[in-house]
Amino acid sequence: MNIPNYSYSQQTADGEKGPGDYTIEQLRMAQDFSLPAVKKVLATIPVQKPDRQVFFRVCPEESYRIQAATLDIRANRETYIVLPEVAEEIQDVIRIQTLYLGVTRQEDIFIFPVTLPGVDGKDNPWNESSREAAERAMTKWVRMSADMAAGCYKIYEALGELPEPVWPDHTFQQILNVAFKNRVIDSLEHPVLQQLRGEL
Amino acid sequence: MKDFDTFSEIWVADFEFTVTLGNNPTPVCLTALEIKSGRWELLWLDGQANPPPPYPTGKDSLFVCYFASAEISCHLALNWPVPENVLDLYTEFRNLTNGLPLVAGNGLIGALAHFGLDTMGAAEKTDMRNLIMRGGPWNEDERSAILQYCKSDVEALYRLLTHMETLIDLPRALLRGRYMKAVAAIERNGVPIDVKSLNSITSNLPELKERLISEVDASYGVFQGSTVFRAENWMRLLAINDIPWPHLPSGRIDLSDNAFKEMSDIYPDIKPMRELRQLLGKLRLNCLSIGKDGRNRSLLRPFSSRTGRNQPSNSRFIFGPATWLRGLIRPPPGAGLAYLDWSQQEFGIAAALSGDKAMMEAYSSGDPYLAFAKQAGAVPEDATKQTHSAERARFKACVLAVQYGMGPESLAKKIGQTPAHARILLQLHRQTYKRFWQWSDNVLDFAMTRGYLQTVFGWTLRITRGKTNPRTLRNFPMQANGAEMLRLACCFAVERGIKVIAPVHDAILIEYPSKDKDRAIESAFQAMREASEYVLNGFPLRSDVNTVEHPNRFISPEDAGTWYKIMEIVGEIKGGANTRSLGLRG
Repeated sequence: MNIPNYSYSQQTADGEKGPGDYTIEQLRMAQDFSLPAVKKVLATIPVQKPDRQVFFRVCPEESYRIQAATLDIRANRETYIVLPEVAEEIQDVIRIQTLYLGVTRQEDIFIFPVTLPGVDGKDNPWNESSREAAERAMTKWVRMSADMAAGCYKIYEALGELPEPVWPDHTFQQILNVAFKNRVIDSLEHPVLQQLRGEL
Repeated sequence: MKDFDTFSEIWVADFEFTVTLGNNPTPVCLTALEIKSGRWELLWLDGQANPPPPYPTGKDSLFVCYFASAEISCHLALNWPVPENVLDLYTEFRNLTNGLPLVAGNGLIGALAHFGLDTMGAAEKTDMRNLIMRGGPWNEDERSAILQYCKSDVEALYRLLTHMETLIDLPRALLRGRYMKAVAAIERNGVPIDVKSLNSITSNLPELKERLISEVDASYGVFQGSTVFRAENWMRLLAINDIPWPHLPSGRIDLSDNAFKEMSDIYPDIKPMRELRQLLGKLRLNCLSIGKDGRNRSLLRPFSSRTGRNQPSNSRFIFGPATWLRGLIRPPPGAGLAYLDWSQQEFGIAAALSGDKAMMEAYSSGDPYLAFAKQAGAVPEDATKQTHSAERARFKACVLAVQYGMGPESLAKKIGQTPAHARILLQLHRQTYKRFWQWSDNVLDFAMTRGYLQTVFGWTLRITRGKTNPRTLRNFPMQANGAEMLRLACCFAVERGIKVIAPVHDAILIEYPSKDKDRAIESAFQAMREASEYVLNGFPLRSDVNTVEHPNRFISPEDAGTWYKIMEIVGEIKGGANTRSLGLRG
């Protein structure tokens, strides 16, 4: 049996390549799929305390946290952001919170709201421990769970050497826009406030 | 079209030939059309002494046919030079439609029908096929009718070429044609079989089955008569021993091998029955196609699977039935066989194509499983296969689980731990090989948005809505590029004069004269290494080799027990033949 070698290396007389003139390297096509064909869309971003079983990190960059007035509607488990001009008028129902950007080990991002002390400077152990958890989570993977007997959150640091988190390439403004989409109270006539006043 | 114009002559050709199971074809006639000049060649070959080919076979001409390995086999039978440039419209039709539903299959008619072309002349005419297969001599009228029949195929093929030429990526199509040439050579070589042992088994098959059953069933009492497995007897046995058993949605007892496997893991007493059922299910030997020269030959059916792999008949090809039957493979006197396969091929391909440095390092370490455990921080840097065998086994299971697309539940069963443990292992893989996972996600996204995936040399899978499993898509680059690698290795090896006798999944089996063993194996290693470098852009994969010399057999130590057992029983049936002298590969 002798099959002659098959050559891809010959050129035609005028220098143009014929189909039999390619080297195998020249026929090779890239397989890197380097340009992702789709971009992950931020459709929903939860505003919540992290689950007690989930380790999370908080973005340490200052541009990724904000102090804002929020309003919790517990019946619907919804958190609204209240614009400052409205917040001044309804101080009795709102809370001033720091909104942090958090991320889980599964690379799911969330807004972690932590309540600041009241105008009188009064704080409570739940808020204090939440704040401590957020600050620790800027450098370590932590999880927090409620300790009802002690009246605060217990904070646990991951023991393993876990890799650094992957942060989204969106601005914090873009993230907040998604997190509070349709949940911005920008006037006293907002239906949520009307409901609270018993007008609806 | 410009690419086609670079050839001075383009020949569309078809042979008629006779062939019997396991043997090489004998050409009967040839018709060929040179499409630029319109010149026809109708050549009667049967009974002719060494006729020369009626067309040039050098680099300036193009040879076009449908299922080229058959036409090239005729060239080999006639001792004609093999055309340098082969365009196989079968492989190109497969490549254009791989993954799509077809109206009438992959044959010449199917291809014509797919493009809405006239199928006239392409139909297999039973009376003509019978006339050809009857064998010669043929009278003048019969010859004329056979030649006209052959000519009508070429006319149909020309219609197909005219339609397909703008759809074909010719340079890469020629690379596929190059593989079809290698396939023809490999099929012609065939795998040497110990026909005497095969005949001993097949001629004593009923008694062999009875003996196997009576040996095992003595402790169960499930079979009725001597060969029929009775489900009700099995259910009674389960009830007596208080063993729960899976049922099908229909309510009937599940007698699949999977059910037996799962249950024998929990109830080891069931294992012998499972092994018996497996063995009986695979004792179908009558279909193996063995030629007069004692060699197994079966169409390799190249490019038949979605990944472009060969898909030879499971019943006709010696590598199809149970693995212990490979004991029938025995090199002839003065020769040896070498089975060469790439080490951890899929892992290596995934590493190189994704460009994941950690994964490439793990592959290059020689033991990717232990390297993965080290990279994940699960074992110390100085850990070895001996000091951390259990951890290595877990990480190996994890790597394979990722390759097979297993979830935590299946991996948990495999490693005998909880799904939580398995989930952590899988998570470690994602964390350690981030770039690979990003690339794998991109593969899936690319496939779903563009509607196709392609290998380095253009083998294409087309995605039809809702019909392709995401796992299939993620695995495609590894498996289909693995197939490209095997094809290139076969081409290189055959072209360098190595006697390749079978491609087997990610391996090749070669035969060599014993005196030439080292050179042949080294040359085959080199072919495999180069093939991996071409596919992986310079990243070489390692290969392993197992060899066997006459009179020993090609069988693994794991299968040796079964082989001996079967041959011992056959020997007893025949009246005490000395089976131990059959020999076993060391």
